[in-house]
Amino acid sequence: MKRISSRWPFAAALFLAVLAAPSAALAMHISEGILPAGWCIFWFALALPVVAWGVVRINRRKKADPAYIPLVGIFGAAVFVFSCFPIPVPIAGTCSHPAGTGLSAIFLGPFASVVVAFVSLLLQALFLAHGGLTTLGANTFSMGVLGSFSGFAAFWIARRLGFRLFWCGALAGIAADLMTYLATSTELALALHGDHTVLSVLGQIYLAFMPTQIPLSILEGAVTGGILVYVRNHRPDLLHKVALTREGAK
Amino acid sequence: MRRRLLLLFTVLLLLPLPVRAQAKTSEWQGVDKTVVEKYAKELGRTPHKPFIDLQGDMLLFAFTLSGCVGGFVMGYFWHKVFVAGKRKED
Repeated sequence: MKRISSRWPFAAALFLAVLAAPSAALAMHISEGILPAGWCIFWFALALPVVAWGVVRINRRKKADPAYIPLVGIFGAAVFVFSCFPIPVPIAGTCSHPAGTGLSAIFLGPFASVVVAFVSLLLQALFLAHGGLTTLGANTFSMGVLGSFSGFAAFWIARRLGFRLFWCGALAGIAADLMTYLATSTELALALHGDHTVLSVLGQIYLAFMPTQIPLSILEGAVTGGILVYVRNHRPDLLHKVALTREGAK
Repeated sequence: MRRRLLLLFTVLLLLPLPVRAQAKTSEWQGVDKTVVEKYAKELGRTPHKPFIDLQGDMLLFAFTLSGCVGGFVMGYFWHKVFVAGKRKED
């Protein structure tokens, strides 16, 4: 145990050192004006009912367990900070950011995770010139809906297969990140394919994301898995409460 | 000792990166520029200006402020759950 805890400051310092190598950078969401009006409305129509249901779920869980609200505070702020935090990827020479929705979906549930993603994206579109108000529905669908549900599904399947907690979290982080970009690529391809086939445009855009996103998704997976292990070591009751582990789980 | 040396070496290795990024602005752009806007432009769409168009250091200030506020909120609730909450559980 002592050996593990002595590694934490080193790992944290190394992680901060990597993060402290920033640059003039922007990040990933679909900007204002990129999608035609019809597609903006379509993605809003898909995303908003999920956001509304997420609000209902948060209210229900808050009534059942008042300790749920601090968790919404932690993981809501985490999604906001993660998703406006550009991280340079040296092998690609570009920047992007993690989604954080895999982590929030595990602790808050996928529907509540969509709500925190929506609020984060709204604040970023309003005040940080990051994403856009007209493309908020599309960005909520990719990062919120698909990111949260794919992360949660990956975690759930990995638990069922008996993987260790760290690897379950890692798979959730990787799935949430890569599926977010698959959704973004699909949104762009559907709206803008023109004379080309949707699949060819989708393939081109998704492949263009990959040199940046694969290293970042691995980083996001490691952070998600690390946080899960930290929570298990310090507040295992939280994981039992959200029905993620049983007593004595590895 | 070996770990400290490795950490020092990593920090020294990373220090020149921002300078290099400033010198060559075509590098280290976000994937919204290098992928989303590039393909959108090729397919006939250009981005509009955001509704609140912060520029230069004002945008940097907004990012820093939002990071601070987000970090504070996260830290506050983290303390509530993992420090005060743990004490209560014990």
